[in-house]
Amino acid sequence: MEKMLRINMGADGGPKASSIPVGEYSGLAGRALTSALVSKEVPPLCHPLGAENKLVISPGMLSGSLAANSGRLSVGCKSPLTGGIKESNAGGMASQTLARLGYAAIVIEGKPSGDDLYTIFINKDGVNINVDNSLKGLGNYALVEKLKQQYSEKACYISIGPVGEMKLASASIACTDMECRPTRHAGRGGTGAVMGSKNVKAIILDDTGMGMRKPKDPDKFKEANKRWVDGLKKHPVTGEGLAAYGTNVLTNILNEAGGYPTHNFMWGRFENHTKISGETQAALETERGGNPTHGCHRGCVMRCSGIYMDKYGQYLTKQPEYETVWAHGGNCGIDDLDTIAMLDRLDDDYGIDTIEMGATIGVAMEAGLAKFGDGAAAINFVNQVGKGTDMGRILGSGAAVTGKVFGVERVPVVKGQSMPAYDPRAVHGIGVTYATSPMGADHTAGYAVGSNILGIGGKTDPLSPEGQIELSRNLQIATAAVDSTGMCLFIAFAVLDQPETFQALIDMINAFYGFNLTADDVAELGKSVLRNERAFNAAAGFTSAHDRLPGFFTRDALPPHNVKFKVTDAELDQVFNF
Amino acid sequence: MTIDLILYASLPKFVPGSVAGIPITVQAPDQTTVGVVLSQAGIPDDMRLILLVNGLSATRDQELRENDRLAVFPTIAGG
Ligand code: SF4
Repeated sequence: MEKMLRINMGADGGPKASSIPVGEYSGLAGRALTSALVSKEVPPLCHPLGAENKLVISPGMLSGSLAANSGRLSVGCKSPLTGGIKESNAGGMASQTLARLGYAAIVIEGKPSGDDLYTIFINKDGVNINVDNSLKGLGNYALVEKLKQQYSEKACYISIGPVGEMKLASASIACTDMECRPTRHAGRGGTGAVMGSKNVKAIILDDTGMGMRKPKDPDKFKEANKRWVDGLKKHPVTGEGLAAYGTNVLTNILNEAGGYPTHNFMWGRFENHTKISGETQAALETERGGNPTHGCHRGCVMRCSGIYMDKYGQYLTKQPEYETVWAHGGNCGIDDLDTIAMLDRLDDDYGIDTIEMGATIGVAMEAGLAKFGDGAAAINFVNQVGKGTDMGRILGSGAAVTGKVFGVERVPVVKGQSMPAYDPRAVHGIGVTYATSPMGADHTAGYAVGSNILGIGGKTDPLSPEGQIELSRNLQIATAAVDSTGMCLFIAFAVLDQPETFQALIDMINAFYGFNLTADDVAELGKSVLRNERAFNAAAGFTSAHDRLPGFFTRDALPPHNVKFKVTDAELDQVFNF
Repeated sequence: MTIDLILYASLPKFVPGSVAGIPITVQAPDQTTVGVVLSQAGIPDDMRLILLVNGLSATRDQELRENDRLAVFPTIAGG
């Protein structure tokens, strides 16, 4: 991965691709690379949909190698949703494929002057950029079907649906999975709108003829990878729990703990939680001939995903994740898994972030546009977004815009991005992460739920502000580093509990690159990523006033524990004191 | 006293006839601890669990009170 593919979509005479050495970004990958490049090359005050913004797609340090679970992709840009820097992370086959093609990143720059829609094909021989206006308006599923005929079933597809073409702020970028379905999305922050603004409909990656990336020290690497896999397999979460029930196993525990945001963050428990829980979902998938245990990319040993069939036994969508089931389920008062799975399918097809969409529908329901629990209305809302009606364009612009248009105060966003499936009043640690992450409200940026609720990586009281700043700080630093390795973040559950598994990861990186990194160096990498991101946001106009939760979280008590968010502003300002 | 015991994820396999998320009514003498209720239900003593009493984090040696809701999970995570 010593080269980078720069594609200037606005070049004279049409889009132009050049493969160049990584140069000053050498040694960086994943989020470390996307955030370094965006903070250095994108003017912080630019319009996210303008020619000055850049879309950076980067595999992680270990992607494309034999390292287990190393296939996560980072997508970076200035976010149309938050106005700040964005790194959105996706599974699927793209990261491994791009890494094997030898690219540390694809950087899409500039903007074409006309309306033509482009595809970018990349294989071992080079790059082909073509106009294909027949793809206009296609959903991700139909698009991939069509492109598969033209290219190959074995290729991997990175694409946008109609919502990305419309450049709406909730638009995602889809990556195909092992079955070549567009189910894995860089969901958060509107990266799909940036791809749409550059008139790129799809990137096709074909790594035929390219082998695995080779480590500098193959023996050491192999030995470290073995310790790594053993460590993942022996931990109850990464070895068994995720595979059996998927991430949606969290529904019941967040509900029990009173931190499951229900009816647009009105309550902390949802009466019908067991109807949409991971246990129920896994049983239903098995009963219908689907599969509750499935990896989003080759080489995943944790396999948190699954295959969801409809009631006729036909494929409907991949197993909706916890965040999706919550966003479209309890948050909207919807207790029917088939409705939620249909919403997931529509989101994937139109190319919409499921969290933003679900939170937006919750706000729309609060505004009285539909009743909580009305699944048909939710499906209609998503279809309107996909079709681009006036109402759909409002909803597709996210929860913050929708709240403004319809006069709703209770809008659960930070920096314009909606909160995921944990109420910060009952899970204080995640509230600190929501408030302060440079990404806006993002649970993955520093998953304090592990320590607050699940007893993983230590134990903290979820209802107290005590220890939460330090917890969130350490997790945000570690996460920024993990997001740079290409590793799926869920490895953290094993790494936080088993120091020897963390060491195996460091040993793997060292053996692969011939480095001598220590745990401190890894932490320093995480800090440097966060410093880049914070510097970009500061120059884009963000101040400490943006590192806050909406006022209702400190004012209105959340049942059943009747708790408010109690971390002070002065404490929040201490998160990045390094 | 009466306790509602609720098992989640893989735990119902230890209590024949139980279903994830459906409370089992347990009779126990006053001051019975969480650990005793779990042992009597047949859940292995050495299993790493997440315990919540009335939605608040609990330990095995915590004493239960009339009508407490004891929710028990194996080590799980997601996100
Ligand atoms: S654990 Fe889940 S999200 Fe992570 S790599 Fe595996 S299937 Fe993908």
